[in-house]
Amino acid sequence: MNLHVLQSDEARAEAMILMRVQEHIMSPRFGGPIIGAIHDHITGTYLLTHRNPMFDRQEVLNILANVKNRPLPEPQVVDGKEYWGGHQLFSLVLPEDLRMTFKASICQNCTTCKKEDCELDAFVKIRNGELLQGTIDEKAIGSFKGKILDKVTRDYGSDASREFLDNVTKVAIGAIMVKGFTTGIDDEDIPAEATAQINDALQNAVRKVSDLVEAYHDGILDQMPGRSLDETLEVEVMKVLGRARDEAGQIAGRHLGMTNSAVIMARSGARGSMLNLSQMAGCIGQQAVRGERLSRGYWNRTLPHFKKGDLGAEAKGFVKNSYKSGLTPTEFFFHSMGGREGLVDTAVRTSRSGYMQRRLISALEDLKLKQDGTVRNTADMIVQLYYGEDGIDPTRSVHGEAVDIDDILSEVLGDEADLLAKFGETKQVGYATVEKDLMETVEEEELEEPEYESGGDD
Amino acid sequence: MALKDTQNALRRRGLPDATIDLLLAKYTRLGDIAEASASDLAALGLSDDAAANVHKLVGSSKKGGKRSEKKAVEAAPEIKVDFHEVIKAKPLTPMEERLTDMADQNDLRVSRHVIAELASRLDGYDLEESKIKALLEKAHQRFDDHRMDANESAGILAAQSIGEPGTQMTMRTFHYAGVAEINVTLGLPRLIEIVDARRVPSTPMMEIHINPDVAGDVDIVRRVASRIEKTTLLDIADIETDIVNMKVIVHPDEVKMEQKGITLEQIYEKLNKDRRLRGLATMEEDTITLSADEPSFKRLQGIVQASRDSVIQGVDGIERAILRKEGPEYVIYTAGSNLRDVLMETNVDPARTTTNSIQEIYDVLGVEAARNSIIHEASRTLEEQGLTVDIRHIMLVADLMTNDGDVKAIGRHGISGRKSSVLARAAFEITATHLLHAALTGETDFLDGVAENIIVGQPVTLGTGAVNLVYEPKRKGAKQ
Repeated sequence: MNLHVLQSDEARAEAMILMRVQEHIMSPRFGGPIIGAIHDHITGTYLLTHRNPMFDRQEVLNILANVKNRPLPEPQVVDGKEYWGGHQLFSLVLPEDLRMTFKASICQNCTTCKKEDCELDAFVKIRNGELLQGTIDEKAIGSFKGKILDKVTRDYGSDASREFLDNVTKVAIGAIMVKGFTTGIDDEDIPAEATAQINDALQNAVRKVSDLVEAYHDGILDQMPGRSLDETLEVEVMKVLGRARDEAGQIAGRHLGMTNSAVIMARSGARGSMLNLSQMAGCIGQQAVRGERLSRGYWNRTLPHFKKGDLGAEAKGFVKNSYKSGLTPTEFFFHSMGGREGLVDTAVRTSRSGYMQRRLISALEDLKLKQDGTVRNTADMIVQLYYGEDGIDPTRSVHGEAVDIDDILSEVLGDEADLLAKFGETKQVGYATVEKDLMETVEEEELEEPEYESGGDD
Repeated sequence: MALKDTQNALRRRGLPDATIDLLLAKYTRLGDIAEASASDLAALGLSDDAAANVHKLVGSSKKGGKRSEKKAVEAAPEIKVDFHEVIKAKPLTPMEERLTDMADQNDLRVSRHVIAELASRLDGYDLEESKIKALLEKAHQRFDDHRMDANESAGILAAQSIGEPGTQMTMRTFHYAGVAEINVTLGLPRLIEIVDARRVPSTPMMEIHINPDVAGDVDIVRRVASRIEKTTLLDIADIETDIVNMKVIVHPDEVKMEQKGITLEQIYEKLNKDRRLRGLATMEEDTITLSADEPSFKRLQGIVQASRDSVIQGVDGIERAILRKEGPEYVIYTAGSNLRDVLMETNVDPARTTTNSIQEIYDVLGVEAARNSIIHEASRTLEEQGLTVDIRHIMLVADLMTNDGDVKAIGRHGISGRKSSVLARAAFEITATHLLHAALTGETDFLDGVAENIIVGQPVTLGTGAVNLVYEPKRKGAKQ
């Protein structure tokens, strides 16, 4: 192990700032927080705030035991017993004059937002540091997305933000300990009729695929413009099987309600996704290598278990089973093929992106912002006359925007601002809105989401 | 960089530093200094002696003087170019104008983007003057707070911010949704391709818009598409080989010809123009016969081959064109790209038509367009992968790549290979070559970059390293 000891007063003074964790909450990459609550911290605040549950004195003291002293708010008295709402407890960790309105992660993006009357309790409203309604989940306190975290860091400073994050995690752990939370394989249990429905849907899809293959062999398959007959078949088959997987997921999802721990985690953004759940409960789906159905292996077939030239669903890597029901030997093999691609991809990618990064750094390392607002290299060559066309520091920007208009409006105009707010209408990423239909999502979803958080250990 | 080189050159020639500084205020190239007349030099504030010294050391003033005079004569008849305004700034809306005026009067500086955003919120909403002013004041204060500090290492921020998400990108080629026929390189390979400033992208693609007044008409758009798309004879005709008579008979499909807007005469002309088939075609009522000019089956086979893939219609490089309805308009997507020729086609809207080939945009529309294209392509690639990177970082990379008038790559053949400092170049790649060359030519390193200072063990000139902190302890008994 090495130990670096700072040698000068200057170095010590600089390190005292640079090495503080709270100075690294905001990311210079996009102007949002990269440190935030995950896993049980999000589940905890969800349990604490979703539909404002009541806690008695004993529970409240347990939840707040580790939070810095703040006077308890007024309890509500029911039958002579004191109760506190989850919203009241969460408000204890909020800055006193905080004012926010946003939609939580559990929001289903209905066509017309009912705002205050949301049945899902997904409309979050904070006034004067009081959580009035809504559920606190990933959208509020998660990294990258956490709106409250974002605002607290920007408006109240990094020290306040650190304190807020500390308190949130403590309250969250307190809440999850009081409420209790567990997940296991039985969270993916679905009733027998649902299994039957899923089997039906999959059976149907497999039949459709064999119909397509038959049509292909009989030469009556309609060729797509600009594509060969083989390609047309593949596209059609992929479409049918992709839809089958989605359908199986939907059937399974219908039987897993918001009382299910796994669903709570997926919807609140704590861990996992609905896709993960539908692959456990419903059907894993088509395995793909290079975006195509599996085709290589033996001569004209993937495995000796199939006939040569078989183009059906099972023979080319469609996994009908779920992770829970268990895979057949051939399915297991296909699944491993799909999984291997992910590993190879990661291995190739690291070196390629590493080299690109090194080149970028070598090219840009000399650039700095000068006193006069220009960006120059150390040989005094001007690269930009005005940094980023507006001189705004991406770290301090509000997700790329120079200032947060909504914030200014609500600070100056108070409640009047709600009338002007274009709240939640456009999804802005930097300057451009995301073109959603640009990609075929079918292929991408088939791969399990790779984990990047712990990069390097695999 | 050129400036530094000139400075070095002048130093080597033994000119005093004061003179060099004066010279460099006006001239960047050694040749220009050599050509400067005595009066030019005097105008810079050089004494006569110093000017003579410059001429002696730098070059022959006589020859140079004459040459520059000659040049002046040649350049005299100035061609009058009728420039008309191409860039039309978006006019301000009344609310935007009101806000801009108010901001100007009260000296509240905010970017136009902020004004526009604010205006779009306030539009159609009656608000008191004082409140609007309060809004602007707040916006100005925030805007000022969010400005980047001087001496911030903007470059490293940008490089790391673009490099970091690279590890989270996929490496596959995808199909465009809706236009499943076209493959597009996305993800990391595309990003690498962009910073590499590669001449031809691995999957060139165009998005061709049609003039708005006819863009809703499928027939017109389809006609444009079929004119652009590469069409071979085999696409529109059946080719029959008559071995007995040593002939190849072409039976064009009338429906397909109609679709593509091709006539039999056109096919005949095109076939006759084909180098491999010249003079073989004869046109009959609805067929074209190609008769072999020499009695060999090999030749006949050659004719069949040549006729199959002879191009009847289309723009060079456009392999495939696909229509797609977007809103009320039809848009053509193509595999393959040829911006220059496509822009010449009738009914194509040049203002909205784009290609993903940055080099082509540079060739046709110039370096500023190329810069915008780099920004657009890079940020779209990142966004498509669901990664958010501030556009300012991408802008900085694009501006650096296009800084001296053409598109340079990020890497040893581009920016990094042209740095003025030997040590910085040697620290990157091909170390020995750079050091050897520097030793042979006697290069000087001024140690102002980052890599150089790290090598010699000094603080770098960015951030806190760019400033000095001076502390003067109070002396005992000193006045105040």
